[in-house]
Amino acid sequence: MNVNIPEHADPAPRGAALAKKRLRIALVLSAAMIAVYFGFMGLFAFDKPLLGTILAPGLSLCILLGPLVIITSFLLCLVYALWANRVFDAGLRELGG
Amino acid sequence: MGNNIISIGFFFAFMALTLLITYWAARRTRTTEHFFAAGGEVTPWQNGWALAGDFLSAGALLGIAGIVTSNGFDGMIYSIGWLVGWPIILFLIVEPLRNVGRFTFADVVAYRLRQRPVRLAGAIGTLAVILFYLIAQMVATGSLIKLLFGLPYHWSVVLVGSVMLIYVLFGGMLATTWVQVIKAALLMAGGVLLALLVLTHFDMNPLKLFAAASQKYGARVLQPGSKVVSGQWDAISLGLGLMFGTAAMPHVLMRAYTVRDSKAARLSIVYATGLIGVFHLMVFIIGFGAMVLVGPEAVAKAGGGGNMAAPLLALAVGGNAFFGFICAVAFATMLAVVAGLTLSGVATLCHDVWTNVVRNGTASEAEQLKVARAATVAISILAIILGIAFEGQNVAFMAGLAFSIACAANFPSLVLAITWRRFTTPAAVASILVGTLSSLVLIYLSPTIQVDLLGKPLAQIEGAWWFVSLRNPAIISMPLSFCVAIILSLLTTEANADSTFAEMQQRMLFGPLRPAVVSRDETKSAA
Repeated sequence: MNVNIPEHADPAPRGAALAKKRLRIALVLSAAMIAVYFGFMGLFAFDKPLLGTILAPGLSLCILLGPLVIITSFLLCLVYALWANRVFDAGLRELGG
Repeated sequence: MGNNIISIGFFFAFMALTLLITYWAARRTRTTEHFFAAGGEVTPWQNGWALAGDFLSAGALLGIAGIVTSNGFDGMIYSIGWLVGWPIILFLIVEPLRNVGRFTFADVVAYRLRQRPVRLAGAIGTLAVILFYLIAQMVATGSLIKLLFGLPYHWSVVLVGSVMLIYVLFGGMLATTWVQVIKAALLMAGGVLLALLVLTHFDMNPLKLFAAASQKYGARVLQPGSKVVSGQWDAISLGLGLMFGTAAMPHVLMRAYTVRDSKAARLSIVYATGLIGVFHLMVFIIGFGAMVLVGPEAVAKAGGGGNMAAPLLALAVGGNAFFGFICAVAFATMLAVVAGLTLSGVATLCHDVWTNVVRNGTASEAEQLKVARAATVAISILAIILGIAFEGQNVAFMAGLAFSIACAANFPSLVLAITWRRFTTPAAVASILVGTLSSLVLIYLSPTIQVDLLGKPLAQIEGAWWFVSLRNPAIISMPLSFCVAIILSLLTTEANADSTFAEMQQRMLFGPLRPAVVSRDETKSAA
C-alpha cells in the first residue's frame, strides 16, 4: 500500500479511497454470490435433467451442488470478514476512525 | 399422542426460563435505546445466535423437512434460498446500516431525504412485510401447537400472542434477544442430535442415507422435480425473492443495531450465516431420514401438511422424550420469530411513524416508550385477531409474499440510498410504494390467489388478459421498483440530498461521531 499519498489541491474526503475499495470488494463478492446462486437456480429452472445426473449411488449432481452453494456462501462471508477485519479496520484506525 | 407430559414439561421449563429473563430485562429497559436495540450491548456472538433465532422459523425445521420427506431434493431449494441472502446483507448492507441508522432501515433511506414522506413510505413497506409474515407465522403456529400439544387452535394463537406480548412489552429487545438465543441453541441442539441419530442408522454416511431413499422411492427423490416449484421463470423469481427479500427483512436488519459498532454487526452476520447454513444442511438429512425411517405415507397420515416429519422422526430414532423435546423446540421457535417480527413492527410504528412523522422528531424519551408499549399491545392483539380470523385458510403464500415485498419495496430503496448520490425523495417514496403494490397486485392476479384460494379453474382464467402465470412476483416487481427509482431520480433534483451525500459516506465509514448518550433526566422520566 502506498502510504505517502501526495496532498491534492482539492483533497478527497477522509477515507474516500478506503470506502471505494470496500465498495469494490463488496460488489465483487456480491456478484460472485449472485453468480453462484443464480447459476444453480438457472440449472434448476432450465436444465433439470443435467442437475438430476446420478454421479454415484446416493449422489446426484444437485445433491452435490446444493450443499456446495451453502458452503460457498459461508466461505465468501469468511473472505469478506477476514479482509475487513485485517485490511479495512486497520485502514480505519490509520485514519483515526 | 401419549407423550404430551414430556413436551409440556419442556415447554414449561422454556417458559419459566424466558419469563425470568424477561423480568431481568424489564428492569434494564429504561430507554428507547434499550427497548429497540438492547442498549447496543449485545456481543457479536450472541447476536449471531439471535439472528439465527430470529430468522429460522418453524417452517425451516418442520416445513422444509416435510417437503424433503415427500418430495426429496426440491425442499432444498428453500434451504438454499433462505441462506444466500445473508452474504448480500454482509457485503452491501449491514455496515452502512449500522453506522447510519438508529433503530429501523428507514433511518438509512431517509437520512439524506425528506423525513416525513420517506419514513411514511418506509413504514408502509415494512408493515406490509411484517403483517403478512406475522399472519403466516400465527396461523402456522396455531395449527402446529394444536397438532403437537393437542391444544385447541384458538387457545394456541392466544397463548403465543400473549407470551410474545409479555416478552416484547416488558423486556423489549433485550428479552427478545435472549429468547432468540435460547431458541436458536435449542433448535441447533435438536437439529444436530436428530441428524446424528439418523446417520447412526447409515454408518454416519449421508450418501448411504440418500442411496437408501432412492432405493425405496426411486431416483426421482435425488433429482429436481417440478412439484414444489413449477415453471422455469417462477423458479428464478422465487430465488430473487428469497435472496434479496432476506437481505431486506426488517426484523433481521433491526438486529444490526443491537451491537456496539459496525465491526460487531459484521461479525454477527458471519456467525449467523454459519449457523443457518449448518442448520439447513442438517434439515436436509432430517428430511431424508424421515423419508426412509418413517416414510412419507406415515408423515402424510399424521396431518399438518407434512409438518410432522421431524417430530415423528424424533419419535422413531429417539423415543418419547426426544419427541417431546422437538415439539417444545418447535414451540420456542415460533415464539422467538413472532417476538422479533412484532418488535420490528413496533419500532416502525413508534420510531418512524410517531416520533419522526407525527411529532417531527421532537417526542421525549418517556413519550416514545409509552407509544412503543402501546404499539406492542396493538400489534400483539392484531396478530391474535388475524391469527384466529385466518384459521384453516391457506396462508402459506403470505410468507412468500412478505419476502417478495421486502425484496421489491425495501431492498431497492435501501441500496440506492447508500450508493447513489442522485437518489431523491420522490424516487424513494415511489419505489417503495410501487414495490409493495406491484407485489400485491401480481400475486392477486396469479394462480396462487385465483386458483388456490378463489378456486377458479386454471383453464378458464388462463386466457384472460390480466392473468399472471408467475406465482412469485419478484422477477417483475423488483426490476420495476428499481426502474421507477432510477427514472424519478433522474427527473428530479434534490439539493439537500446531493450535498449531504459526502457526509453520509463519512458516517457510513466511521459511524456516528459520538455514541448516543442518554441523559440522566431522560432515564428517570422514562422510569
